[in-house]
Amino acid sequence: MKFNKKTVVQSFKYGLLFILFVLFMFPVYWIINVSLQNNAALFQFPPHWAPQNLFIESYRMVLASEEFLMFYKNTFIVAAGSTLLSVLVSILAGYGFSKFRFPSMGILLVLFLSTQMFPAVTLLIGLYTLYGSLGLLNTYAALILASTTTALPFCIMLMKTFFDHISKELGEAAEMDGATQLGTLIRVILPLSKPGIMAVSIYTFLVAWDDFLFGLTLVSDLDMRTLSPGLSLKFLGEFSYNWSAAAAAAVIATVPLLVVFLFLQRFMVAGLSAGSVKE
Amino acid sequence: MRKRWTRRRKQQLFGMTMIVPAALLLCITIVTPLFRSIYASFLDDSLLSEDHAWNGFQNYITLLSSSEFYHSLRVTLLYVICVVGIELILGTILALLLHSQIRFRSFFRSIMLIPWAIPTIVSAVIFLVIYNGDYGVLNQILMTTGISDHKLNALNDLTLALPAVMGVAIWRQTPLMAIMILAGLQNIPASLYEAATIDGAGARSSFFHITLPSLKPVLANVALLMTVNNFQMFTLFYTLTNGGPVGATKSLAILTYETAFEQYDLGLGAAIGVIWMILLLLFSIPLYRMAHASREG
Amino acid sequence: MNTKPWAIGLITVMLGASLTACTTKKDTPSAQEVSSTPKDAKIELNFANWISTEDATKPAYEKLIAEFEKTHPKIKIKSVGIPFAQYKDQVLVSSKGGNAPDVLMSNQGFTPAFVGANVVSPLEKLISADILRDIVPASKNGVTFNGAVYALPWTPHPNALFWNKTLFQKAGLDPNTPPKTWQELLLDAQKITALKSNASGSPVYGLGEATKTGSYTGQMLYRLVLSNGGKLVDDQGTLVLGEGTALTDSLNYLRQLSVQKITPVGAEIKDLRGMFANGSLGFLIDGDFGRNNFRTMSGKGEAFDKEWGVTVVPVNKTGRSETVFTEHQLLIAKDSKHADAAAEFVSYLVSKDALTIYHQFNGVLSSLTSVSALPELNEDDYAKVFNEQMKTASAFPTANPKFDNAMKEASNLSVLATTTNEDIPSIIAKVLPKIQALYQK
Repeated sequence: MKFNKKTVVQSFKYGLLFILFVLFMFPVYWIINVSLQNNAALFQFPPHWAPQNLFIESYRMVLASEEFLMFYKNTFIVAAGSTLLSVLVSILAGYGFSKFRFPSMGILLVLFLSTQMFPAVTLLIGLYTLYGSLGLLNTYAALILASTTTALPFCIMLMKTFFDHISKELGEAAEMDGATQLGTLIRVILPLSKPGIMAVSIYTFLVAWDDFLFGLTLVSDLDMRTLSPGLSLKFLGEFSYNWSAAAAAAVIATVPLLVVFLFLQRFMVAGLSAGSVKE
Repeated sequence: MRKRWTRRRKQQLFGMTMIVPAALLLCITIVTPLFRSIYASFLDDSLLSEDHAWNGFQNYITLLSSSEFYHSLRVTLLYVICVVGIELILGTILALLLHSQIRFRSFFRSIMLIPWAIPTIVSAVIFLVIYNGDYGVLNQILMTTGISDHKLNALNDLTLALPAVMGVAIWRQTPLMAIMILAGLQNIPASLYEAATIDGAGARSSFFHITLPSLKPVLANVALLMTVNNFQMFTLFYTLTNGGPVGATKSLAILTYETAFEQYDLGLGAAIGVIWMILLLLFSIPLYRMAHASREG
Repeated sequence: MNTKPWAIGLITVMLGASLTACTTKKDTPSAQEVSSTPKDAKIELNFANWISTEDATKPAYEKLIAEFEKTHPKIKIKSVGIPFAQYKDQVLVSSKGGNAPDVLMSNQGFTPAFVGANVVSPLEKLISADILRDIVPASKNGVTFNGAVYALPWTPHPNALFWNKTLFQKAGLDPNTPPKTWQELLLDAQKITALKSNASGSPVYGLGEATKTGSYTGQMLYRLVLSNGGKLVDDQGTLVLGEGTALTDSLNYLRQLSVQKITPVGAEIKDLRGMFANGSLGFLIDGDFGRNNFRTMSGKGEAFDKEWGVTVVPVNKTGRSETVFTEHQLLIAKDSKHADAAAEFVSYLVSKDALTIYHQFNGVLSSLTSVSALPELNEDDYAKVFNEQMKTASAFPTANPKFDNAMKEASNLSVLATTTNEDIPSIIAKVLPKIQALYQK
């Protein structure tokens, strides 16, 4: 009887996973579908679920485009830079908030988050002026700072939550052994926070990756353009959209990310080591 | 007299030093424009004139007595509540599935992030294609399965436009939620479950008495994050419907954009921003408490 | 007792405040407005535009820039490419942020905003009087604000009637006889709609009118109002849209089109272009860029030219072919440090030489009377039709910087007329006040 119940549960799980998988992957499949057809095919009904004539011109065009490669490289640099900066700063701040409690800490944390509670659109002129006066227009630094700012409040909260879960006793034990506070952080706490660091990294990376507004406003040099504004500039024109090319560009841009995610999965270590003591 | 560097004081100082880099960063990059905007909300700040006179609370009075503002507020609240609510549920289900013992787990975990990884602007454009009234595949699916007997132009329909936009947002954001919740699930010590099983608790009981309570901080965190982010959602609304049809999807973000760049009234736009900020602050305080209640000072 | 967190908060505020002060000092624009060109150094002009990276216009753009730099070795042009949909906002942000580009490309929707925000110079002192006199009369008003010309019209895009010859044949109409009156247009469109679907099974529509919320839809409604004898504003700039029957007639026309399924509902112009290029649309009123667009979007290249024709818009209530034209324009920033060089560049771009090149690549028209009469710009029937159409095409009334917003509000009229059953007078009563509010003095 136990065997039966387990299979039912497992099949239910797989069934649910399958349904969700289809729901979430369908638009992705459609993007690939559109990328392999020419734009004229988009104006037919019923739509083709698979390209009738495989159209690889879009892929050829995007891959051969120096501009696209430039946009891609720039976005990667900005995203990587933002991730590093964000992880570093949020680990420090998250740890500070978590281990060393003081009154009005909550206010400070919420104040941090409040920087994201204002319409970005009204800040554009102010941000432009600010980065301009710092001499940072058309630099990677501006975009890295902008994306980090966007992601930071949440990253800090997330790291704090993760650090909260790691028992105080571990830290105290390390200190008894003579470790400094910083040392405790690096040697004892961090290794146990890998899932949190992973979450923060992925979040910041994708925030920077997807950025449209800052890349559009703070950068106007073509060779510093990032992916979203760049694609918009090239394929979403005044008179028509090149849907096929935009889709192809998105696919080409996302595949390397996929590979990276697959690789990073190994570091999403499940659970904590036996050393953690429950609260 | 106060020179006794108690251990606690030392720790507090260390803690605050840890926070300084973050504070500094935010200060340099966003606090200035933010303060400037808030200040501008009290001015007659139009792009069309150089004269920026102080007008006190006039902008606020104009806003709070305009039906357009309340309409946008309603649209935004409806959008945010539905999207965040559905994402929480779907995200938790997905996280639980990805946390459990299934085959190809790594594969699923990595591809699930794809919707979030595709640039929003491309997703929006592709959904224009999917939702297209005459040629979209959505219509084909709806008609073939018999859900609808005629073609729907979702993005141009007064009742369907907002749900259509919500759908895209949920598609994009749920995977991220799921990954965050998954990280939270992995943080729950296995020993808790072991102890529960020994005590004879079943799966459902474990879920409600161990999983959910342990997840509460993470859930509150992501709910807070998604609420704040979705208030800001601009690209999807702008590309898919541009606030239409007839304002059915005119969220606060679109209203602010129109006020600032089509009516050229930066002061009024900033006032919308301030009200938006106050609303979110009020909303975030209970969520924050939920996320960090366990060990308040 | 625990004053440290407050100390941090205070420091934060102080830092923020000091930075505010810091940046305020730095962002006052330089006092120089018109500077003389230094004899030794190369001048770099920033040219904000949206045509330098789009595949359709990139070759023409590069050739134009190359030719200019060849004949003006002291000036180098730096292209500042901005996506069209965000163009107006981005130029406003950078201009207000103290970093305006020297030369700006613009169109009739953006220019009023730039003029209103005081980021561009009047052109009388910079562009030769000959050129200013040469501006096509229809365009002159649209670029004159408070008596001064602020934008130099570059390439006008009058909207003419494209018709699909293949669908004509299928519907039993003579493919070489397009309709000359509005009634004929409607009848022909109905016949094409009766075809229901084309060879590949896709739906066929007789006529495409934009009916999705957005500024463009409002502009097309304006075109209909014009053809019905109406106006948006009078000579003083007061809103007169609600006067007379023109608006009601236009909305009734749209409603008829949607009820009889002659037009797709909720489509925007980009969709309509795609449908025309796909042979799913009998008629489309669109600009001169149509030929190049249709060649690309149909996937058939030049071979697609045989399948359609273009003629002037049919006559409606006014007795003449009433239509609108959109227009690319060139502006010079007020804060440009190289206004003279900028003027040289702008003068070149509207010149005979430049237009001939641009026309060769993209078939564009010229906004200068003398240039538009050149045989090089009238070499085929296509160019002739559009030059002819330009004679009766009206500019948009853009004196009001909120024109774009007004057009977006106006589009709600079209949307409500085509998606609901509300009676037209109550639709007008609902939307017109919002447009009126934008035209209050």
